[in-house]
Amino acid sequence: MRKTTVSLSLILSLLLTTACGNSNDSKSPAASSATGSNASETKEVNIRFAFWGTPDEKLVQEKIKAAFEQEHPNIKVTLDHVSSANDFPASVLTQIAGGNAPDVFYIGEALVSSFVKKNVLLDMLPLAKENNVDFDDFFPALLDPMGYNDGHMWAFPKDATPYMIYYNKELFDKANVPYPTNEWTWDDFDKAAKALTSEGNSKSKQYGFAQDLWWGPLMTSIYKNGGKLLSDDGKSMRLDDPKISEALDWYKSLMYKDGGVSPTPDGLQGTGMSTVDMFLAGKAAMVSGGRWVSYSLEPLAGKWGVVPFPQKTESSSPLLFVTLAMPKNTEHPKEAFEFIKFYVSQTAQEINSSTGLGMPVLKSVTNSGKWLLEGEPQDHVQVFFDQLNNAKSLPFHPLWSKTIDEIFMREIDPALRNLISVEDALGKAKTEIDKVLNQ
Amino acid sequence: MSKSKANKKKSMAESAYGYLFIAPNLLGMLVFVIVPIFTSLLMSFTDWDLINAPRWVGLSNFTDKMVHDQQFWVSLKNTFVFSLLTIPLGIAVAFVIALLLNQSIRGVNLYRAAIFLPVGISMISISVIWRWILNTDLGILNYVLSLVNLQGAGWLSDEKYALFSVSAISIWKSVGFNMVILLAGLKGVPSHLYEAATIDGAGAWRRMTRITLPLITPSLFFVSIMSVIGSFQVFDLIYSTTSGGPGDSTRVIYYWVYQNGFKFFEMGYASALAWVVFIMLFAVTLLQMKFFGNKVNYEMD
Repeated sequence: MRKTTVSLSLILSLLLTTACGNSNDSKSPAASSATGSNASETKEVNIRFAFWGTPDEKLVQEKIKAAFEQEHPNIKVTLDHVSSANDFPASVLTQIAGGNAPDVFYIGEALVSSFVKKNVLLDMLPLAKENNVDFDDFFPALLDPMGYNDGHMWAFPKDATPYMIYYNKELFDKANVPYPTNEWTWDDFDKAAKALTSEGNSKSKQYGFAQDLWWGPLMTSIYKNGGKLLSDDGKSMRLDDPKISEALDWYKSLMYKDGGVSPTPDGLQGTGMSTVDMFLAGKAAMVSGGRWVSYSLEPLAGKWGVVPFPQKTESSSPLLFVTLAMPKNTEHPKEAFEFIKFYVSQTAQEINSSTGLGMPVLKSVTNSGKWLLEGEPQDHVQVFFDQLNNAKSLPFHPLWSKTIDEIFMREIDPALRNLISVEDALGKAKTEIDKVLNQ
Repeated sequence: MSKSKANKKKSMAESAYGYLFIAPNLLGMLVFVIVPIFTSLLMSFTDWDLINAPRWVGLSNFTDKMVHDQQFWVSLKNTFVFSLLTIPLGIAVAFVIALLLNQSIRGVNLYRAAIFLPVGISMISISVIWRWILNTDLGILNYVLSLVNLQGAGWLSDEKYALFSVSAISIWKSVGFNMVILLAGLKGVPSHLYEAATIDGAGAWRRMTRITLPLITPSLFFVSIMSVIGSFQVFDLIYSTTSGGPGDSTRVIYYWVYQNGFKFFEMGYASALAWVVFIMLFAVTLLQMKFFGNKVNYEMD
């Protein structure tokens, strides 16, 4: 009898410990109490905010959380940080499917529409109207992807950036090349980049430009040439548009024409550096990127400038942005919305843009110039403001992941490696993508 | 009560304890293995995006989508090529190393441990290290080649070489495991057989082919089955070195399953893909057992 009780209690305790160990599948330890068990006893409500980012970005969130909790003493925010953006959507969707969704979470610009299509987001327009959110202060191109023009507000943009060109003033001075202007064209750009490219092999030479090759700059080039991605009926991608192949041919020619002014993908991989690293090391006189580049430019303080991405026929281009959204079945919609509203208000927007990682989404905060980094000239305010205010939105189709992210990028890759022509690549991509869109 | 009844009761009580002790493991097996396998089979007949209710589509994932899915055939081809590269070479290399380390030379245990070490290192660490070694312009491999005036290639950045490189890394990682198994098999070969063969005038090659190989067939059999399954299922290596690239050259079938499931959120189709791979692997393993199985000698004398 003794043996039985001992072994039974052993088994039971083992079962209990494994059960307790597995019940908490979310990343933050406080999460198991986050779903509203406190609501009844005290007025304190606990909401969970899931985001991705570098450790520095995490610090920003902590500052915003502290400022928010000061203003709203009855709402506690639990930060749920994931370091990579890549698997973030899958993890959020899994949590939503499991009924354990965070109350507020990031969604990248390309995925908002796919989340909307899955019908998991809370339409925040009623809450926004109740709380008197000033929609006029937002940059208009940021509202359209949120469904605002259709009477919804599926997510709020929290920071945004156009694609820009950063240039090294010293290298320009040394080569006697005039600084870029806000209106400069592809021809101006080509001339300047050529004058700034030295001779030599890929490891030691100086390049006029270090370009990155994801859809950000590719789409920007397309739009600066007046190209349009999605057809009006939304049923096909207009990849046979000559403006698109012209734009991509130009962007590709920067690597290959006349010896190239920018390193090829292999050449870049060979240096072991990123494009921003090359810019910082003085190996490239210009680099393209969003506002996030300025975050790394501390070593070049005072020596860099920024202009919009060069244009062919259009000066306006798409924006990249991250949004905040709420799941439909959140237990604390009012409190979660308070947090989002705080995040898109002046205090938080100033904190968020102070690192140089992103631009504010509000016109007022952008105009105030409080986001300028130390030593950054005042005229950058106008440069960024104009690009943000005059931007066009990219048609982030719900199937963006499968079509642009996967098929388009995969088919254009050999063209960017100069193995096939841009036209052939676009032709293949169009056939495949149209198949997916029409399924 | 009668003696037989008492005995029956006792044995019943004993088996009850047995079941009780394996109950946690059985429960775990049920919850984490059997139920998910069954669920994924059901999922493969649906169209499910993880959030909304699954939609029954019958066999169309298999007969319609998969057949016309160009990426599926490419991934399958890449997986086969990867397996053909990795399995025979991996086993052969492990066998040679096991032969060499079967001697009682000084420090042999150190060598064995060193060869086995990659097995215990996480695939992510290995991938990071190898990505640096194989880097086109900064990697050690190309540097060494340049010292003897050979042009280093884009091992991971050139479509022609990427699959070979990834296969080499996989062999490097698994050779320790295979070697240990084969070494154990070698130890089981009675030395008097070798002595008798030497006296009869058999050379080293003959001793190996007529004595060693036949008598280590159980280990070879085990190693080959594990290698086949392992190389068909390769994923983490691809994910952390090349992400299926450059182009399509290292896109293996499980990477395509991952993309469909977790990037495009087509869980139904991803499950269908996974089941097709399972059936293929099952068939290959059955063939292996049929063809190779009856040649395995389990007796030593």
